[in-house]
This record gives sequence, structure tokens and C-alpha cells, in this order.
Amino acid sequence: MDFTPAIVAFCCENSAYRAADIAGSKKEGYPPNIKICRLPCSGKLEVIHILKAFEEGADGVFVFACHPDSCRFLTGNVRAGKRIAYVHGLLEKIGIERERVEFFHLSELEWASFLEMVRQGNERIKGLGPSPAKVKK
Amino acid sequence: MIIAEQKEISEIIEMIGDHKKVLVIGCNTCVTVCLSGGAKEAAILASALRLAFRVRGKQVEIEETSIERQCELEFVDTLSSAIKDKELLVSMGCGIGVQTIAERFNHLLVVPALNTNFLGLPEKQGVWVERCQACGQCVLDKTGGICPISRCSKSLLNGPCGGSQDGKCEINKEIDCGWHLIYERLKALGRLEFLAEIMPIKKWSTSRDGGPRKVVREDMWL
Repeated sequence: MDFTPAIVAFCCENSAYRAADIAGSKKEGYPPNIKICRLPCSGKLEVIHILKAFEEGADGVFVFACHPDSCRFLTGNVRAGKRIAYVHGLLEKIGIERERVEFFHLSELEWASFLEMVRQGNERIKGLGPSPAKVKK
Repeated sequence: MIIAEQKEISEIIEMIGDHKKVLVIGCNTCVTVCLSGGAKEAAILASALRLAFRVRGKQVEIEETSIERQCELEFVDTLSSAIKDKELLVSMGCGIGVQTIAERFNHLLVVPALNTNFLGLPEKQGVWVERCQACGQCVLDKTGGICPISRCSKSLLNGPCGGSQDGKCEINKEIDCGWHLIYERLKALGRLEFLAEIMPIKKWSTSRDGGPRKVVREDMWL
């Protein structure tokens, strides 16, 4: 089956969002099915944002935070990590594979790593198939 | 305030059963502060339930709303339009909220999304501790502001039991001995003489032993 997953990537504007921007300016493409959502800090990410992404038809969600000890707001990335852990538990109870939510650490200069992460992540989500919560049309 | 925690989502799904139109109702007071049933938690629960039913191939309409206080009829009345055409209400209030909604809208089934735990306070972010058992006969004036009913595992009134060791309770070494705390507080206040006063046998009829309680103030009647 030829399946193109819908993926939402929540990116901290101080790291991954800039890395994506640099990758774009270098004309390095990444899968167009990955929709980037800019966050002022990964700590702004709430559980509801991830759930809403799945409600709206996402097959996977990526969250990009700054490296440990590199958050401009000190602990935003730590908080994001805790929320991801909570979401993982909740998704399993609901019946959605926890692997559909991935958490990455990145700095703004690591544009090549960003590309690698989204390309490989895209393949992993592709391997999981459509989200079981997707409304069948 | 009242401290509560959310039930397992599997239990809530089971309570919803085959109902097709469901309203999840948050409460913006105590359970918002203890992060279990406020507007934010109502949105998360409603979203999680919508996803859960989709995964199970069931068509269930789940909406959410939140009101200021589920334990006051004036605020519960504001739900009138939101509950129209609903088959089941999921209350994210404490046990009082669930019952107030059930009393006000007695044609609908109301189920609890929370387990109501105790009266307490947030000790730090994410940790809540018990401080009051609403016994109806406060003795905090005699104990330096530390409640022997809720802080002593045995609710003793005249000093610790023989199980108190190194300031900890015998039921769990993580729990402070309530009477040790009282002693230390009174000592710091220079009021150790308070301990010499023997508290008489407590009248537990003002607590749960007297059956459901009621407070009446006729001077406040309209």
C-alpha cells in the first residue's frame, strides 16, 4: 500500500525551527507531508496540542526541543519531555501506538541532523501505517 | 481545597458504555488547582475519549465545557443549553460537583471522571497532602495549628502512640508523626504547656459518625 503519513512537527523556534529554515535556504528538501508548527519554546507544548493533531488526522507527531541544558528558558525542554512521557502513557491506554510521538533534541545549527531525523522518522511512521484514530472516509 | 485525581480512562470509557452523546464538564475551582478536572483537563479528557472511541470504531459525540463551580446551583444552571440533546454527563468535579449536577438535571445520568481524595493543599507543584477531615469540631487552637485528626494516622487527641519513631509514623516511614510535629511546633512557640491539657473524648457525631451533616443559618435565608 502506498501510504503517505500526515506528520506534525512541533519545533522550538530557537532550535529546530531555525534548523529547518537553514535546511530550506540550502534547498535541502524534507518530506512535504511533515507540517511544521512553530513553538516559542518546546515548554509551550501542551498535551492537548498532540491529541488535537491526532484528532485532526495526524499519523505521527514529532516534537523538537533544544538539547539538555540548552533551553533559553532553562527547563522548557525538560517540561516538554515530561509531557511527551505523559502523552505516551495516555496514547497506549487509548489504543494508539506510543511510537507515533517522537521526541528529538536539536540545536539551530544542526540542520543536517534535522533533515535526517525527519526523513528517518517519516519512514518509521510510514512503517506503522495509518493512525488507528483516523476517521475512515 | 478538595483534592481529587482522574480515574483511569478505561474506567471512564466503560462508564460511557453505549451512550452516543456525551458532555464532559470541567470545574474551574478546586480540581483546577489540583490539575485533575479544570477546563484544561476537560479538553484533554474529551479529546482522548474522542480518539479512544474512534480507535474502537464507535461513533460517539463528545463535547466539553467547564463551569466556575460544580458545587453551586447558580453555576450548574448555566449548563442548561450545553446539556440539551446529551445522553450522558461526565463530571470532572469532585463528588459534590457530580451530585449537584445530578440533582439539578435529574433526567440525565451523571458519571464521575475523578476520584475525590481529601481536603488538603498543594505541598509543591504536583504533590498534594491532606490537612483536614472536616470532623466538625476543630481543635487546632490546642495543637499549634497542626491537625491531629488528619495528621495522626490514628487521629489521636492526646499525644503520639507507641509506634512513633524518630518523628515518623509506624504505618509508613515517609509519613511524619502528627504528634511529633505538634510537639515541635508548640516547643518553638514556647507553648508546651498546651500538651498538659487533656483533651476529652471527642464528639464524633459532628463528624461522619453522626450521618450526613447539615449547616443551617436561618439569618441568611432569603
